[in-house]
Amino acid sequence: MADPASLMPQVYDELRRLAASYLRHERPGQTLQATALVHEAFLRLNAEKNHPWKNRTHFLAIAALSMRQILVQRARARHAEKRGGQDAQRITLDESALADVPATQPAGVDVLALNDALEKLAALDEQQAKIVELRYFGGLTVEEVAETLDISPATVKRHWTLAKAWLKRELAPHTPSPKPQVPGQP
Amino acid sequence: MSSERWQQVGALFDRALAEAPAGRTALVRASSEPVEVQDEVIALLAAHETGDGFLEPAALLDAGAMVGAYRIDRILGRGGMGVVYLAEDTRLHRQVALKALPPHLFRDDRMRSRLRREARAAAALSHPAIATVYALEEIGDQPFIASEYLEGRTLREELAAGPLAVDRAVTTAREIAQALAAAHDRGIVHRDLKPENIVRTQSGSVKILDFGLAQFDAAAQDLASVTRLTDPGVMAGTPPYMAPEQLLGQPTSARTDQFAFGVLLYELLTGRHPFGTGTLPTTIARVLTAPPEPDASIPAGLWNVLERATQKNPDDRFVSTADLVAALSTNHFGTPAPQHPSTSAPASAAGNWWEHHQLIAAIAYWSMAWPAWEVHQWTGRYGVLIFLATITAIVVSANLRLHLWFTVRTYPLELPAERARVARGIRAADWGFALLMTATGLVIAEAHAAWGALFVAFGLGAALAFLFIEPATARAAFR
Repeated sequence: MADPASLMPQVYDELRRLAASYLRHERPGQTLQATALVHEAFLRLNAEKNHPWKNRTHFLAIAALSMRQILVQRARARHAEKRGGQDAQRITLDESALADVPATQPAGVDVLALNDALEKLAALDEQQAKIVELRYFGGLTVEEVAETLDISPATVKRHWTLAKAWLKRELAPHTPSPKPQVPGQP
Repeated sequence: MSSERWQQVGALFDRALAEAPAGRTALVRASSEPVEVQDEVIALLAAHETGDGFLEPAALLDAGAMVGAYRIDRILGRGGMGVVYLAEDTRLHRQVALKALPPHLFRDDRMRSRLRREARAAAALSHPAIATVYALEEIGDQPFIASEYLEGRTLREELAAGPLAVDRAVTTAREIAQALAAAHDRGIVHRDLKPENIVRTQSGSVKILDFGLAQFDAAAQDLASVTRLTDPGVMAGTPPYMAPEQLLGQPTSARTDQFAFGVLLYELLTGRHPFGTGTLPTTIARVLTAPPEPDASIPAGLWNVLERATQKNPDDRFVSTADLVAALSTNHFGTPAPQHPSTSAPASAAGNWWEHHQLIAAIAYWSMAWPAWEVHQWTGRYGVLIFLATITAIVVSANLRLHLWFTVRTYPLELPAERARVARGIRAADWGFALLMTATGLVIAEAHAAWGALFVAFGLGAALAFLFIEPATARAAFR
């Protein structure tokens, strides 16, 4: 498989264009569905005859990386714009906006915090960070991640579970130390 | 933390996850890893166990997204196996319902070809009460199904205001049954018939949505969707319309739709689900084992139809959906259902007369077999042919009548459908018998006056009986 980075420009441009068009009329609390964007970009680009990727999985690996960069850059730009304000406007990635999930679902994930946490995770285990990037920013299934990274789906699942638990704790507002679970507590 | 430490954490975390939740902490504490690692794993387990869809991808198309020539407006609905968007066809400037696979099945080749196949099947259906499929679009490498977008209220919304009047319920049910019969005729089964899937349009008629598409839905979901039902907050409160064979994962057929139709009919008439509105497991248990709860507001004729449609064993339901339509059409619906419906059917005095009429007519017809043989030598070269024709008429009419007589005595619930099924055969045989008798009588009257009189009398008598007497007793019996 060719290096995803060399194939990036086309995918990156398309994704950035799509994201921009969604964010043009930005409202406070604007949410972006990263995987929806990737999905739409694929539908558009795949219709063209001479695309450089071999298959959808290949494309998604490229798109996941692009998407992560676009969102982080955008979040940084907004951050800089609003610097000084107490409530720096942050883009949240709300994957659950349209999903049938109970109201207990957290409202969204802060892209910059997630990006920082992923870099910390990469220092511990690079593959786990990559798995999160592919799953979360690219919307790849466990099987597709396995194919992309050339490891077994069972391994992907194990790493994904662990990485999610770690990120969840890392991104939680204030969890200084592990708390024993009390039955009946939410 | 170093990456070696992290490896230890990961390994212990995996071992703990293999354990039941209650035993995890003990397992971690009993391990030989350093306390620091143990603490970390316990913290991660706590985070894991409060898992609530954190970071789970759920790619859906957003408002404004372009899919080929379609502009997405909003999501109309989503199930485990499909997402339906309201979209605008920018070429034809019309609104369509655009159905796609949900993200997690987007790259499942099997599901994709299934979606295509079912779209083709649904597209073959052209019926006023079935939403029209416009096109199967291949965009990227994904199939999308564009179909008619219907504005109106679903029957679910209509039922929120309470049960329908009997007349309206019957008219609605008949439209639905006719659409089902037309689809079943082409071998297409809905498998997900429910009030949510039926829309009353502004003209007042109903349209069934998702035909054929649901086949692919339900087949893939089966029990998975039932377990989904029990998920709090997901689909709780949606009563199941699945037939026992669907719940049990057995093969489904057109009769699976009959079951859902029976449930729907009950609901239209009473505003309640026939298998109770308790917890989902209770309802499922009732679907599998209990008959529908009798309801005094359901007319007997309709009760018979819905009871037969909701039989647990598909073989006990209507033979075909056309029979169901016939039962809905031939019944007169006025009197409330008896509390013990299995002993129902025409139990009145008129019903007795009707039963006796069938028996007597059959005996009378058969009694003419020997005289017909006796006189065949006097009816010229075609004597044997005339005799054979007479015997055929006797056999058909008498045996079908005996069949009805037998049905009413042993399987009274099936009588409406059986009557509808054999009515034409009896009518044709009756005419044949009466005409042959009369004609034979007239031909032989000159040479054999007594025989001739007997035959003419029998022919005219039979004609009077089936033209005037029988319809009158039938009307009285099945009022």
